[in-house]
Amino acid sequence: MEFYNAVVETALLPKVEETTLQPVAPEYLQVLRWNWRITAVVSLAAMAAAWYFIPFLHSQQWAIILGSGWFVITAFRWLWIAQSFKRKAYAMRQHDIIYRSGWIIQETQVCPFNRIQHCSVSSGLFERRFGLASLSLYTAGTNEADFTVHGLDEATAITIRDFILQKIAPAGNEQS
Amino acid sequence: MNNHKLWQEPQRQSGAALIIILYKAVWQMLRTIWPILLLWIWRKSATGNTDRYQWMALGISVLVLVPALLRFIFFRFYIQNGQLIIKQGAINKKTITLPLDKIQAIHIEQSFLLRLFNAAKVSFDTPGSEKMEARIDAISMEKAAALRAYILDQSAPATIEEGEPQVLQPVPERVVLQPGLKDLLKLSITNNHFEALGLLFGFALSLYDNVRDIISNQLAQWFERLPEEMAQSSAILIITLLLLLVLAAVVISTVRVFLQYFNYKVTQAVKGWKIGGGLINTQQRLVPFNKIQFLSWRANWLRKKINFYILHLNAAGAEDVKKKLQVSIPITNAAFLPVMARPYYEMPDAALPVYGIQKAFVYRRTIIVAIPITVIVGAVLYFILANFFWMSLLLLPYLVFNYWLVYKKFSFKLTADALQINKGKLGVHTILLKWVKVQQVQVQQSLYQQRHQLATIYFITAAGNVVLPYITLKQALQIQNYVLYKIESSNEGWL
Repeated sequence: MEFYNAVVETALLPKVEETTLQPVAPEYLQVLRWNWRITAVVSLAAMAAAWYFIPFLHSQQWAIILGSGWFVITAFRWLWIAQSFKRKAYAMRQHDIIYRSGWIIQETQVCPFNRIQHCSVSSGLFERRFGLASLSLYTAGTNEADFTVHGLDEATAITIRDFILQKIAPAGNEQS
Repeated sequence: MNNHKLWQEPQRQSGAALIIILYKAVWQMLRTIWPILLLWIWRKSATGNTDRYQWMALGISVLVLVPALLRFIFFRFYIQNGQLIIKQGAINKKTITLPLDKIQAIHIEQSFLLRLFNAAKVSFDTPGSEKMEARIDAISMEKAAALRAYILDQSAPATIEEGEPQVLQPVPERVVLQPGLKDLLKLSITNNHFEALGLLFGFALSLYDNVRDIISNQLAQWFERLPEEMAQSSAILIITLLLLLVLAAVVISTVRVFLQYFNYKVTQAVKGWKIGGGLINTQQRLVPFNKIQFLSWRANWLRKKINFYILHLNAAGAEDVKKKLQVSIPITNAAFLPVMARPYYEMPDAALPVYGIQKAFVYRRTIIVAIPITVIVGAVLYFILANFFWMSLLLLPYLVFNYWLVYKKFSFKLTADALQINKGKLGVHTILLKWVKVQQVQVQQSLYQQRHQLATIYFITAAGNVVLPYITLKQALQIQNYVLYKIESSNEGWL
């Protein structure tokens, strides 16, 4: 039996950090902003109801505390959405998919295709309105061991999903 | 017994299953309604007015027992087209289909009751089976062993390459580890007694909470006054009580250890580890070698001194599956560790370069965690127990020292095929991870880490995450690129 044990030139390995990433669709910022508006209005209404109906909170002091708390959190979320959106980007390589996200904690996730068990495309109400979708990748084991690429153009999401499904299909069962 | 036909026919559970299911249902019911039951007995003797409680008890019994009976009657299991099929339910019918090649472990368990009937419970684990309750409550022990052997035989991939003459040699099973009485005593004494104390307190509190309405007012008042009385008691009494508590904790730990590890045996079989034992509830587990994602072993300070370790086999699976497969094996001598690690991976060479984490870890944890915790605890103590405010001042040096220990003790070695992490502040905690077991690599950077060219790297496996915190960004990227190369260029199975 012939046995090879070639030296691996680590410096020559493909580098994730040098891969050009594709930003997610600009419309996704609108989706995030709509979600923000809905959350802001619902949380304000819930807080106003709590202030009105719970006698303990029924004072001007509590109105100021709750109102300023709501304002700070809501304003921070607006900022967070804008900043994290700028970082969201992805790339497909021959053997894996890369997704970069986050603002205060930034992360780059890389998932090799040969570790993916299945994948799915989903889209929420606002995503559909803007023709967008999210691609979820599932690996074996815990729920943590998967990630979702948000803000993809619907056609792109489906193309990537089909590409991955083809990659992970058992030999002899590949989709055409 | 191991023929296709037998397993292809839909089968019921053994008669013992009915008793087990009913027993479990009744036990479950009693556990839920025992305060009501106690109240009922109490009221009955006090007033003689029982109608309402009798009806309530009858209603609950029917609600619990009828579904249990239906579960037994409508339960069937069989193997067809390489799949284990479990059908159950009368009104809500449910069919569980498990491809045999996806089954990663089969557990045979014998509780005391099952042993009386020479029956066993069989449960199956597959990756991603979080919400799937695939189990057979009771079949005869002989049948359970035959079913396990049959499924393992069907699901195992052929290891002999095609074209070569196939001469199957039966490989004998080998007992690798069998802790004796002395080892069990060592394990009991060095156990975490705080856990036992916690259990004791938890039990006492829940007991008190449940019976508070029932026990007489005088007794309840005495319980409420207990902290005050304690404060007024002499130091000797308090010390005696504390000593008694410690003694109780040691006794509880010893009982727990003996219940779990009595007659414990680790056997190396052809395809995996067979692990079993227990005093009242006998458990037999089989963890296939290929399902083990990473190994870890620990020893607290005391155990390190007496050369005693607990080895964890971290196998693939969802949360509840992992709990079952996360087998903890007591290792009575460090020399056994390489033996146990060998089927997974040879221990890395001791002469390899050792890397550490960056000192910034201590500064950042101090600023982000230690200082805020100290301020909050200090504020709470200041407003509620002003006399104990000084205690919060000790918290900061303690936490900082803790982080400094983590930084000093954390080291890792990289080989062509694996990662070995050594951590553990006063004791030992070692993790051994083969690169091919990694499913996803994540490089994380906080804003601070970005400014200082640092990063934290996560290796996500089917059995949980392994983390290298606060290493240089350059090192993190090099490791990430190399690990991806190893995963993507290897044909070695990882599940």
